[in-house]
Amino acid sequence: MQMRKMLSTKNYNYGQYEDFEKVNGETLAEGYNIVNKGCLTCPIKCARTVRVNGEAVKGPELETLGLLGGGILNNNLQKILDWNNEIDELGMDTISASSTLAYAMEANEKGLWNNGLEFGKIDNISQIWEDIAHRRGIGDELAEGSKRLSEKYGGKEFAIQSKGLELAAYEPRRAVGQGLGYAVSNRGGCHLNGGYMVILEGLGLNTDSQTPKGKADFTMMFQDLMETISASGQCLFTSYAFFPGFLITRPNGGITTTANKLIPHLGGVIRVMNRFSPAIAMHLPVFHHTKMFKYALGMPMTFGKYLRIGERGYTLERYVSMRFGVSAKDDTLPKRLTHTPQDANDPKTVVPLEKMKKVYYKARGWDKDGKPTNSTLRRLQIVK
Amino acid sequence: MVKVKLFGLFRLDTGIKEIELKASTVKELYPLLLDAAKKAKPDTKVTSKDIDGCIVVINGVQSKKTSKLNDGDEIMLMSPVCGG
Repeated sequence: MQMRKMLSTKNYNYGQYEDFEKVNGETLAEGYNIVNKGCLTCPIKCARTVRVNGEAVKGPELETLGLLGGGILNNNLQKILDWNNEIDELGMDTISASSTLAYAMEANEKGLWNNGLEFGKIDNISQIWEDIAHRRGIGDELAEGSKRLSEKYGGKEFAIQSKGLELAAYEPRRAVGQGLGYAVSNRGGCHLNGGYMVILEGLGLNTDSQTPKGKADFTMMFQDLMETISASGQCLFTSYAFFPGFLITRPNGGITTTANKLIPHLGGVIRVMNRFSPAIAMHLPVFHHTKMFKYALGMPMTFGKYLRIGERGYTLERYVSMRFGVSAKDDTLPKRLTHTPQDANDPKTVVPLEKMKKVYYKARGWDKDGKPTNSTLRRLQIVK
Repeated sequence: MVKVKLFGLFRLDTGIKEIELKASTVKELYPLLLDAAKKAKPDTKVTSKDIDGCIVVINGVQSKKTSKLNDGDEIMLMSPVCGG
């Protein structure tokens, strides 16, 4: 993320943090991690165990490291471990808590809200988490989240949220498909419900991260896949298995390089696959989730059917949201991400959101206002 | 001499965070790095394929294994995948 300038830094002002090596995964593993834990027999073991005040507790995830590190210009890793534990214990989300804090720091810096919070000043942060949870003092205000705070104090352009949910640590001006996902996600600015396009745009593969080409159709496919993975209780981390291993482990190889160049041009193919997914009556050789359905539940399953289940779920959620007033006007990102280039010398380093949204709605069979059409609802058997 | 910063498996298995080596291309670094890994930890899990599979960054810019190196360059060998 640091290398690709997609590490949210100073409330998404920048994409690189000069002290990233002090708060990265390797430093955590070498100096702080006691053991990795996971579900029974899992080879991934995504959970870290660290020591806080002499006790072994759950360690921070990537988003937390990013947002409580570079996000607020903090290079003290032990503090991140402490805060992660405190926020967890208080039952709050580390992404929303840290991003709201970053908004407040910037609002103070810009003179919009005199709250005493400053980037890089970390002495009083533990007290703030407590105050948020118990709605005391400044915590009572921070508990409202960055959307409502920006409506009160101004600075909507740097309240890094969509539909009221703060974004994760992936800076979408360097992964524009991820930006589309954040904006159209049913859940709000969620990196996972958004489709996790960043996997194509730098975390696993290395397609052109600035082009809007093909991104809408891939976003739909990944959203639908992850929808079914989540709905069926399968693990999202295992969705990396969607990609043949050699594409990931041989980033410099000829096949991977060719795939990276081809992917933006495959939007049409992916559109047809999405639209006629039930016709894909097969299992993918590397994506074992469909076979797991069959073996665990006895339910006949194919890759196409798996996709269609996800599409139906995603559209149903949108349909419900629509009835509560959600439409294209809510599929937004803060202006910092859509109008201010991350690199002042490169106008392409913004999220071309409106352009991608149009293609996305068309791919999904939604109208220009982002509402599922009657024919789409009937096709997915959501209405008769 | 160039400075090579290491991440992921290489660093976690061998304990080498950074090392100074003499090479004129990235490719020339690979056998030198494997030697260094074996020297630091004789039963290291790191193989030449692991090193070859890293993303190469020279002075902050993603590069190729055929890229040429200049004295004083800083090279980072990054894991090919990350996320969360």
